[in-house]
Amino acid sequence: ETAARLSSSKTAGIEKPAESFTLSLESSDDEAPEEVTFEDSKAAALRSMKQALDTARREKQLLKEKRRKRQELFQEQKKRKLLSADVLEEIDSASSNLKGKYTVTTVKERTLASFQQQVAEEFIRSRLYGPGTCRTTNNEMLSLQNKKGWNKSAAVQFVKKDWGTFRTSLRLMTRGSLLQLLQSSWCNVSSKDKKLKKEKKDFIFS
Amino acid sequence: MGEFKVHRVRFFDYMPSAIRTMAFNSQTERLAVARADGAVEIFNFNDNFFQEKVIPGQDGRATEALCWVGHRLFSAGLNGEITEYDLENLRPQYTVDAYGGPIWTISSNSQGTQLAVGCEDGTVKIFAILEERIQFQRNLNRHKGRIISLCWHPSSAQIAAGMTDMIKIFDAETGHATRRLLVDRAMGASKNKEVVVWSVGYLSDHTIISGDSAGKVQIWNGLTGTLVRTYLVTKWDVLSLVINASQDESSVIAGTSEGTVIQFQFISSTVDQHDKEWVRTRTFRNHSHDVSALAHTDTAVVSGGMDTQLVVRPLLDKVEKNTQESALRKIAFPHRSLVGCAKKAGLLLFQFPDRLELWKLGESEGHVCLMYPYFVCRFLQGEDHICCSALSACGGWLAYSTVSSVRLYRIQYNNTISINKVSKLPKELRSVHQLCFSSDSSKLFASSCQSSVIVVAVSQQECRYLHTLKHKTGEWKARMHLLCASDDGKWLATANTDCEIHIYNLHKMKLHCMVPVYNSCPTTIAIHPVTNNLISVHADQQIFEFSLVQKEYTQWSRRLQAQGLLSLWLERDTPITHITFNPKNPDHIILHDTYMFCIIDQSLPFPELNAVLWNQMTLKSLPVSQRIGQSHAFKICKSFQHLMCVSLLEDLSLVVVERPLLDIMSQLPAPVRQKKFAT
Repeated sequence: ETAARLSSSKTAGIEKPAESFTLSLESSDDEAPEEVTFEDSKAAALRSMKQALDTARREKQLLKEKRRKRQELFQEQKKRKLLSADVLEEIDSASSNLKGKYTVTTVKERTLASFQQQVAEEFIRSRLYGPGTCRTTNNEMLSLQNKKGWNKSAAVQFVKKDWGTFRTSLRLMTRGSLLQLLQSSWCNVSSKDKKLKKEKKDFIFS
Repeated sequence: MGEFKVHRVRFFDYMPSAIRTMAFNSQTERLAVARADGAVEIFNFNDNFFQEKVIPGQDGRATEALCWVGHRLFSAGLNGEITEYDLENLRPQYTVDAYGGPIWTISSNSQGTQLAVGCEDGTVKIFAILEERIQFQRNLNRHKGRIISLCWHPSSAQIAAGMTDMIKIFDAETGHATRRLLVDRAMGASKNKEVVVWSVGYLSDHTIISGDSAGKVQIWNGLTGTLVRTYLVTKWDVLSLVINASQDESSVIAGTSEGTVIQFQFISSTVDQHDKEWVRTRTFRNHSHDVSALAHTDTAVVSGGMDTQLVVRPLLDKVEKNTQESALRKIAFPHRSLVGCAKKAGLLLFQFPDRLELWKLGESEGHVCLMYPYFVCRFLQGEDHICCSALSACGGWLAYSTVSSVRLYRIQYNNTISINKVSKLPKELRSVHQLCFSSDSSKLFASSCQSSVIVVAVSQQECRYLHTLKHKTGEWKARMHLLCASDDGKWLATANTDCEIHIYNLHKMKLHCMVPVYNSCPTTIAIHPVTNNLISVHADQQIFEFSLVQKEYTQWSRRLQAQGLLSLWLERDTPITHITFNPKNPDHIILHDTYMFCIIDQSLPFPELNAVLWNQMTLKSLPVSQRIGQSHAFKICKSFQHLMCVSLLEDLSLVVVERPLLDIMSQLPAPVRQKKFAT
């Protein structure tokens, strides 16, 4: 009877661990109580608790994985939706009078292979440029070269006013704003032209 | 005597692509270089390192490795495909999916019978190299991580494969991994970071040499599987490593993320040569960014990487010192023109791999600028990159080609710009390498696959096939890389990579003659508008003038050859990529390379052998009366750099398209941070 009591209290220990440590000795003068040390039962209870927690965590992971895979599948399916071929053909051959700029591009279907390629490219990127790779900027490197070179000069951002900013925005400009920008001191084309007209010495070939 | 108004153009945002990998073919002396955008370039090391072929790239090709097998060229990339290239028609011949995910490395055995590729899925796959294709044979035993690098043993019996944290030696026959060499991770803070074996080499005596991401070059005994020696050469990665396998396996070079190339040599410290060992010898610092590609020729170390420049560093123990042969070469710009100029309309066409940009140059009257240069439009290309492009002189027609198609556009300038694509093109216009419009914009010439020229008529209504210009029937010729038409519409000149120049009579629509073959490849050709003489400049910097009418070299050309060009001219290390003429002065030939442009005045004497070549500054300082005595034919201007194009418009203004190297450098990826003393 005592043994049975003990075992039932062990299983009951999952919900109420405290209770399992109380050994209730039933009065039975015939049977000696089973010897279970405090450490053993504690260990056993801990083990079963851990097992339960592990199972719960594993189940959670599986569910998360399943949800993630489904999400991926949906993304792929979404990307696979292409425009019909004749619509593409029409866009491609359309002629138009332009008042601004236009560009025509054809979009390619993304596949699982390209996803793997992305992963591989990300691997290189993170190994060479990721955290801990100790990189600097081209600006800083060139400025250091300027400072340590034979002809010492200022850091590069002071030498070149338009460092990296001009070009990317150029293509998005309308003609009006481009004219405005060219009138600023940067543009080599107009200001240099004027400069050359004044100097007129560079191209006199003797 | 010569005063020009100048359009100084710096808005061509040309960005070269990083060099990912390279392979040298010691039989043919050709270097194949693969760029990050998928383009493959072939340099002829026998002809002044001329970039004789360019195979356009493709979006997503992501080439990681190149491999020569005899005269055949293979590449493999992160798109999971192995590609064999058609080096005559300059396009991929076919691609084979390896079904192993992204491919990191490719290598052939010494007999040239098998190709091994290292894949993302952890397999090394073996393909049989057959006559016109490759065929999958089998996988070696799969490893649990990606295969980053591999190398065959010269006997073809083993393959060493570099992975993460280890190198495995496989038996090529059975596929089993026979040895596992464990590579140490970096010391200190990066102990948790896995070490990637970026490259590996296998010597005949079973020595394995590896370069890894922890900055180490390690020497292993492949038979016992033990580490012999470790060299910590950098704080960053050792990205590439190559052995001079075609010579005596006595030299190994390693490229690092710092931009250095380090040489190791198998030498002995004692006289009797018995105790040879691998010793670190030279360090070359010729790059500012990561060196991801290396090649070892008989006499030089070739390197390339993220800074996009190809550097050839001759080894001073293999060449004669202080000669042209021993000079360091840096190839930073393409050896062909990417700028088209419509002389009558004042338009510029910039060719990028994935698009074209059309710009109109500003106009001015006296000191007043009426119009600034403005952007007209952009033509976006899709996956296949652009091979060549052309703009007609009137600016009304634009054509470009990729490996698979040709596009033709009609451009009209009224109050607005209107662009119409000509949709129905003759079926003969398919795979084209060079395009050129006739000077009256009525015809388009296209060099096609069968080394012939397709002639089509372009008009408001349509594009109509006219004729195909061929050599003698059945005779196979190399691909044409240059095409030019005369101003009067009578002549067409073509040049191919076998150094042949052919002249066609466009009135009779047949071959007129072939210029005597000179053993250096022409880098540019042009027909003089008045005399109809053909000017050709070659990779070795020689200049020739050939009379089309007389079918022989001109007197001027013979005199130039007899006199000889000055050594300073011949030692220039960038090719002449464009020739143009002066409408006002028929004696002028205007040509340029990356660092200078030159007006050759055919009415003036050639410089004496001891004369100063760059004498413009000296002449300016002399009084006018004395200048005539000192003048010679070569008038060189070095005020503009780095030149992409120099052209003369109809209104006699000079157009100078510059792309300063600094502008390119400012847009490169991040270099490593070096701690320098006192900074």
